[in-house]
Amino acid sequence: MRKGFTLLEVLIATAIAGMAFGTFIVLAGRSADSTDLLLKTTLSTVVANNSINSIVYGGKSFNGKKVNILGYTVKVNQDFEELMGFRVVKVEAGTPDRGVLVELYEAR
Amino acid sequence: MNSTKPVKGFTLIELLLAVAISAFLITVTYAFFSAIEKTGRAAVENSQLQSFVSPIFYLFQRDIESINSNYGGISYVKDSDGNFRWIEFYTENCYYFPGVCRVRYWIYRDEDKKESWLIRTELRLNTTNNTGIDAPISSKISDIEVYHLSGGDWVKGIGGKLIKLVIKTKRGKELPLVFVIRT
Repeated sequence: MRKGFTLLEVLIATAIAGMAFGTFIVLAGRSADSTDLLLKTTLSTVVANNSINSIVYGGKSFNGKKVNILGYTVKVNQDFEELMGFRVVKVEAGTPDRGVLVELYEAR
Repeated sequence: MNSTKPVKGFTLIELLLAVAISAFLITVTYAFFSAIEKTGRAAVENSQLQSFVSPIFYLFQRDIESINSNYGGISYVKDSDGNFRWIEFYTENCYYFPGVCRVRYWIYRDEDKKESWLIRTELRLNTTNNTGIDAPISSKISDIEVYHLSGGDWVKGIGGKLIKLVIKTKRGKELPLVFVIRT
């Protein structure tokens, strides 16, 4: 009688190992994705703060403008809203791949 | 005379199959570990940038937006080559002295070790000497440029209500920061 594993046993073992590897790679990818999202949110916050200061106190326009910060591109949009009788400047900032990440408001 | 004893070993098909499976496994494993390593490296780089940007942004924001111009304006000093030497102002955001203090940001350069550090020096109000409390902020900064808004364009120098600091990192990237001088 020949000793060894049947094809079914080998296939099941391979599937279990594959699932373990797959889970690991998915979790590692999610962790890296959160650090990426965190950094892009921080950079968008900085850009939104820069933009709102330049709009409110410098009279500059940032509608649809792309800003380069530390090698990343952040897209900015500006708008105005009426809030309790005040004209409020609204700035949205985000990266092209993540969309809008930050909204900032300042009363004019 | 013909032998009836079975021959021990693998057939060609079995060997080819084993080689093919091994090659497949090696390729998959290599791709797997390569992807893991690349993801890890990106995550480390992102974390380093994250830990650089936030403290710099909030430190400058608190210092500059708490400027008290009653004691004097902002001074921006460059060397003869036009490089940044320091920026100095009076602020209410003091960590070591009560009330208003003088704060100077300057870059310490060690040519031998090829290192540079952004230093925040806090000086007591009404002192003429330049010895204060030095706090190293970051070793990732190589230079700083200071701009003000003039006729809708950013021009090097100080003036007006807005100040823009362009912080240059050693990797050649730029972090622009725009603040309002509220007083």
